[in-house]
Amino acid sequence: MIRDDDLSRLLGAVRADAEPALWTRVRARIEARPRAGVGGWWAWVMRPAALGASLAVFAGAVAVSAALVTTAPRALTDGSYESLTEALVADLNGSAAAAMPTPATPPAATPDSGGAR
Amino acid sequence: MSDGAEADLGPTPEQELIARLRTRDLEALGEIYRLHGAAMTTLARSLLRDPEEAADAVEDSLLRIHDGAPRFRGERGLKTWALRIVANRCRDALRRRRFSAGPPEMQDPIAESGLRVDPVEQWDQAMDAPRLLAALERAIGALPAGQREAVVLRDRLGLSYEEVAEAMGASPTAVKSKLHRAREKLKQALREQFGE
Repeated sequence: MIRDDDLSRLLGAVRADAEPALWTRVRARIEARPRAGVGGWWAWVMRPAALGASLAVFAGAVAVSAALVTTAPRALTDGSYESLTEALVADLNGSAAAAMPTPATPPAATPDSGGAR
Repeated sequence: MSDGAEADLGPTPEQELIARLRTRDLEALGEIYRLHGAAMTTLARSLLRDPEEAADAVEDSLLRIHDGAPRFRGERGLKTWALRIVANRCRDALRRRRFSAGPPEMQDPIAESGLRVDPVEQWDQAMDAPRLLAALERAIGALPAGQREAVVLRDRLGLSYEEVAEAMGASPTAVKSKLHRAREKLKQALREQFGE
């Protein structure tokens, strides 16, 4: 029924048209890309700027550290302890002792546990 | 003598277009789409059978052409090169699709794929062309990807065996073999549906 030439003609009769909107999208995508040349030049110019910004951040960090040291609790800075670790451990021990319950005092009964009802 | 005459002709319009494309001239890329956009779209829609996915494939292919143009030496024609890029992109999409459900069965495979039918020249009016075309399109959809690609490039887009081989990255012998098997399967599918 179907000969080779019929098959070729049927196959060749089906096609599609190009979409003009597709080209508009492609063009917009390409134009939205950063240009390689401009990007390279910009990167070169930005190197000293990035170095300057890093130095500024470093100076800021030093200033903040200095401010924290001068406003720290006196015990940490007046030379009572050999090191910062000792000062912190002493501070921690003091806090723990204050928080511990007194062993001589029996625990108080729960005022309303529900058991009396 | 003929060599001298050819030398005087200078670059062909295609060579000029390639030279402009290599400099990333956007107008040159637009001209390629004007010249070969229909073939690129026909190939993508025939292989993917989904107009939106096909549009994405053609769009990506144009970007790849733009990016790859400086490396294109023009030894094969622009059309073959462009179609090769579209075919590669469609193959990637089909490979990804293996992990998804794929498109549902189509009632009208030509229209739903975003394709249209030109009048069939010297057609025997006794044969129901629209039904034959729809059945043929379903049969093309059922072919293995390589055979489908070969049939579309050769019979639908009219490329030579060598151009099909270039576009598919295969040897002309392999292409002829794929085409023979594909045509036999298509004729068999039509015989099963319409009889001898």
